[in-house]
Amino acid sequence: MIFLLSKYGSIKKLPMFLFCIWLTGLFLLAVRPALAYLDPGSGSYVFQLLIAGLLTASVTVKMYWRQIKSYIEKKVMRKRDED
Amino acid sequence: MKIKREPASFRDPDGFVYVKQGTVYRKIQPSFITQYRKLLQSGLYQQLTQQQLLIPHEETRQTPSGIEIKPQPIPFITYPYEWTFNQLRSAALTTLAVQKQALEFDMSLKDASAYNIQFLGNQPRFIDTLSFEELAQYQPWVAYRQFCEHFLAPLALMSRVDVGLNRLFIFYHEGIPLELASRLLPINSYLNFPILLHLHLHARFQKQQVNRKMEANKHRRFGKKALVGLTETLEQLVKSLKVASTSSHWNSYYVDNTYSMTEQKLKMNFVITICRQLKPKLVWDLGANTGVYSRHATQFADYVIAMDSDHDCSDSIFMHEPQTKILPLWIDLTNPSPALGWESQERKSLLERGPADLVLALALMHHLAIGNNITFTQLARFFSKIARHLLIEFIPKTDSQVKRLLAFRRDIFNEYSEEKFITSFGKYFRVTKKISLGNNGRSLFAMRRLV
Repeated sequence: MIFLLSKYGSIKKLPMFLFCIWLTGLFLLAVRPALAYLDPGSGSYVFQLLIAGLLTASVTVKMYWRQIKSYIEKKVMRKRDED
Repeated sequence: MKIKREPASFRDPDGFVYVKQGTVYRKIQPSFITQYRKLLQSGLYQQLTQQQLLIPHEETRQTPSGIEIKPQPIPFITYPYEWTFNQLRSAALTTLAVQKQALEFDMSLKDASAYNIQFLGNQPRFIDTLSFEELAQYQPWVAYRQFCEHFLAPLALMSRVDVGLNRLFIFYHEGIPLELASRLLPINSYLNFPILLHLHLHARFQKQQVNRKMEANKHRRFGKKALVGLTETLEQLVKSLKVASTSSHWNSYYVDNTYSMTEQKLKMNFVITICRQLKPKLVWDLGANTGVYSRHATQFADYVIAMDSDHDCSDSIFMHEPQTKILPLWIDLTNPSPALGWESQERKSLLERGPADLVLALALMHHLAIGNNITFTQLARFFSKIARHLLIEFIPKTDSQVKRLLAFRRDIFNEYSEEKFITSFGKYFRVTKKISLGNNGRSLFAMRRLV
């Protein structure tokens, strides 16, 4: 996700980035279901393992985003004080 | 000393709930004591109870066979199929808040059942002290599927399809299957990425042949950051779900109806007088509407259950009532909650949770008698099962509200009269007080159950 963000570079292109995620989701939906029904808990277990990277990235992006936001806020405040 | 084990408490081998001399206790088995001690010693228990997320308890006994704890009592047990949208939503957010804090202390919830949440008025509380376990390293959240089935699926269905779909809990009392939720949700829900991920995709994986996938993904690690990410994305999704208010007819009932201010005042004073006399512990306000009389009852009653068959009425009490003494429930009295679960004993029926010390049935009886063809005899028998004392309003056929009910149907209610009403209720109740509400023929009766 971070790679994609840096690739797209700009927050303006974030909708495109989200669209890519959504498209990936739809692609995953195309996986054909098997006839046998196994323990439903194990399906959730494997599913979580598969989306682990996405979930970790969401926390990381949020963390960086908070840092960037507070950095910009500080800059703006400083500029206002100078003015 | 005789103890009665709670029939619903059998799934978790680490402990069980029982009742001893009318008080609820929880037994912690030796196998779980280490985890229980970690909950206490880590500081998580203190933090959760201080923030009023988890109910507090006191340790009452420690023996070689385990520890006995006495949790703070819950005045009235309710179930998710009786909750409004915002009640279920707040229950979901409480569960996630508990899980988020547990993760900070390297612990995690081992289950995320909606039945682990109970309400103290409008305040949701997590009640299962034995749901906490040490965080297993690099393992996914074991309660993820349960959370989705107990909270996410019904909330999404209530929000995106129909608010009445929380009743699916009655058929699927251990959570709404994700495949079913996925099929019922509208096509545009696929455009919402969190719903796509946690419901549609997740549902697909319930059907997958996972053994091979498990082998292929065994090496993958599910770190703590991923667990935090999972909890946060679920929280964002739950917060984003809303239900449209239908601005129902009943929501504006006390603004639009035919009562004059004097009549309303008479009614209000009567409710207060009876509550002052009886000082009831538990009041059921049936057809509570926006909770006007529930609020008056709380002046002298310990706890009021405000039931209404209109979702928006009950939801508005939940959202706007600052008191913790009123618990709104979304209940249809013509089809009250049945007993459910194993041997029909896991979840009690509404009637099994009675009788109440006092039942208020104001401006209700004509809806049951005329709107639903229920005879006075049937009504009297029903009220005798749920009420020790009854405060009931009789509304004559000449009243405009009754005329409205009869406007487009044949009047088959020859026996609908005050005289017949008193005779039918006289079999089960003794009238202790009666007042007339102005000149429109409406009367209020205070009654005491005979047996």
